[in-house]
Amino acid sequence: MSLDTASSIDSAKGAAGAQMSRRSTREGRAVLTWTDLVVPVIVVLVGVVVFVYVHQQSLDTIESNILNTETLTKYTVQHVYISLSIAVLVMLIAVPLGVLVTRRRTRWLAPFVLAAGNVGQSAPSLGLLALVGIYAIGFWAVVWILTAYSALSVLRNTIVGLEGIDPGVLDACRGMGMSPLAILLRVELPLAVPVIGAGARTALVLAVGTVPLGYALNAGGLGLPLFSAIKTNRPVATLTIAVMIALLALTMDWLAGLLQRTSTPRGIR
Amino acid sequence: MPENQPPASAATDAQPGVPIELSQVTKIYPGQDTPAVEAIDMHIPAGELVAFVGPSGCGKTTTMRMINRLIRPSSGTITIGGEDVAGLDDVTLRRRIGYVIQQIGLIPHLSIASNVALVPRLLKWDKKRIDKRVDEMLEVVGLEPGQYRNRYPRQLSGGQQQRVGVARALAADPPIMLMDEPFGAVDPITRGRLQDEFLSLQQQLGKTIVFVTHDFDEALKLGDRIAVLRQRSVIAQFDTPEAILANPADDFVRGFIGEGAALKRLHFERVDSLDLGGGGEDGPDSVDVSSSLHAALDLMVGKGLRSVSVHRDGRPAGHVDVASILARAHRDPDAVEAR
Repeated sequence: MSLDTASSIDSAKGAAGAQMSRRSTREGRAVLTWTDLVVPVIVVLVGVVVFVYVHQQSLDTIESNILNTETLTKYTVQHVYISLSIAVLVMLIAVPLGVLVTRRRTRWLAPFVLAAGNVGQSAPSLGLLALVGIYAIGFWAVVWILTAYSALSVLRNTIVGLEGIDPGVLDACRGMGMSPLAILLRVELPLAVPVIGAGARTALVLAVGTVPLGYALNAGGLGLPLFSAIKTNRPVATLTIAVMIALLALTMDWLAGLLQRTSTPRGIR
Repeated sequence: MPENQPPASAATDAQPGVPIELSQVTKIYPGQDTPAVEAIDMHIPAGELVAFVGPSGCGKTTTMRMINRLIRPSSGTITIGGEDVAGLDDVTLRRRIGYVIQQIGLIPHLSIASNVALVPRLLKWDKKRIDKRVDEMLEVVGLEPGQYRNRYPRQLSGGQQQRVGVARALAADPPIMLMDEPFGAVDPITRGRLQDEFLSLQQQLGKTIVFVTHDFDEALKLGDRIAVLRQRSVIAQFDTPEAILANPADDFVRGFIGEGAALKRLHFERVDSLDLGGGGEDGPDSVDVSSSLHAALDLMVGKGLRSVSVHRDGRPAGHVDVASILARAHRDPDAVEAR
């Protein structure tokens, strides 16, 4: 059963339908409003202020090495890449686990899965990184550790999102002869999108914020220049990179928010 | 549904109901000593609406849900049109049974059209046929397709949502409908209207319907037969509304009928079941021969009259008076049963 059959009638609208769809967008929440511009405006403003400030300073060799545009761009791209890899892995692992522990037959697994998620999150991330760093280093080591660290938010939200669905809706779906898989894919998951999406945003922001700790494992990202600035005691460079990481987290969260909203089905927006 | 519309083809070409047979159906939930439903036997004739009434927790909903196997019976057999439901795949079975519940359960992120189209789509009807059927069904339940097709459930009132719920249940033209307090969550005025419309729809469709309610008056109004159930879904009485009113099996049933059984019975007797005396002068207030004695009495009480004239095809056909209605209401209950 394909997912798009559920919306095939919606796509076949006559003139009356087009008129109606305008009305429902008005009654529902629009995808983009002016308040969505607040975050990007702040990010750009702060970015410009920092850029101008750095350019007014007279930088020594170490500072200009650290704040070299080319290397910083490279590290930023790496940082985004690692964070997104973590977010994707978290979704691939936590959503199916959340589905599993909300099925009647495997509900008994819930305490174990949640306990594992809790251990992942409550273990200090730096300690975890140091511990694993003894055995493995590099990109995947950091990605896996931080996946374990941020999976709980998606796991929890998947469970909450699925359990929050009106039982009457599910009873009606079963009573009309939808198979359990069809109910999951066409009813439960679409309805849980807003809540799962909120968890994914949290995971992504957590990842952006903790990836710098992985510098010691040589995975790349903005952690490298940040810690060299700290170690060489260069406050201007330290501040600049710290602000960059913060702005990156804000930007990623904003983009994820937009994605979350556009992937929420229109009827529940 | 509304009287001002010609009967939609959806209603007249409908697949007629088939009988349902429950025999020795029992449900014992794991870890419980007493069965929720104990050895119920019941024959539900084709095309009839059977209302299950009983106190909360008596097992009426459980009994209903065993018919489409949302709950699996612990023992006993259920057949639909002679076919044992246990031999069918659950999903296949349920696609042949309409299902309407109090919580309505429209899928919030799908348009009204997609909700109505749900079962036809599961049955892989072609798109043209589905679109046509959706519009037909929306019209049948009194919702203008052009206006409602592309709305979402939350944009509709409770009453409108349940109209969609009924349309959705009827969309694949199932011979059987299961309805669990379908009008229980709407306001009394809307409920009355939905009941009236549903009744006239059912008169055209002739589906076999199991209708669960705790409202005895609703059962009286809609049921061809009423099954009064006590704890463990034991049948206290299973009969026509008239017979139950005239002859309640015991105090439990009497308690369920509540106040005014004698008056309620007058709903089921037509004015022309009395001797009208023929001809006679025409008064200002009149009732039709097809009206119920309840309506006639209500008119007299309201206007402070002792008698009103009766019309047949708009022409005076005699009189009916308070005394004869009282005599009818008071007659030997056995006479009703013998009818």
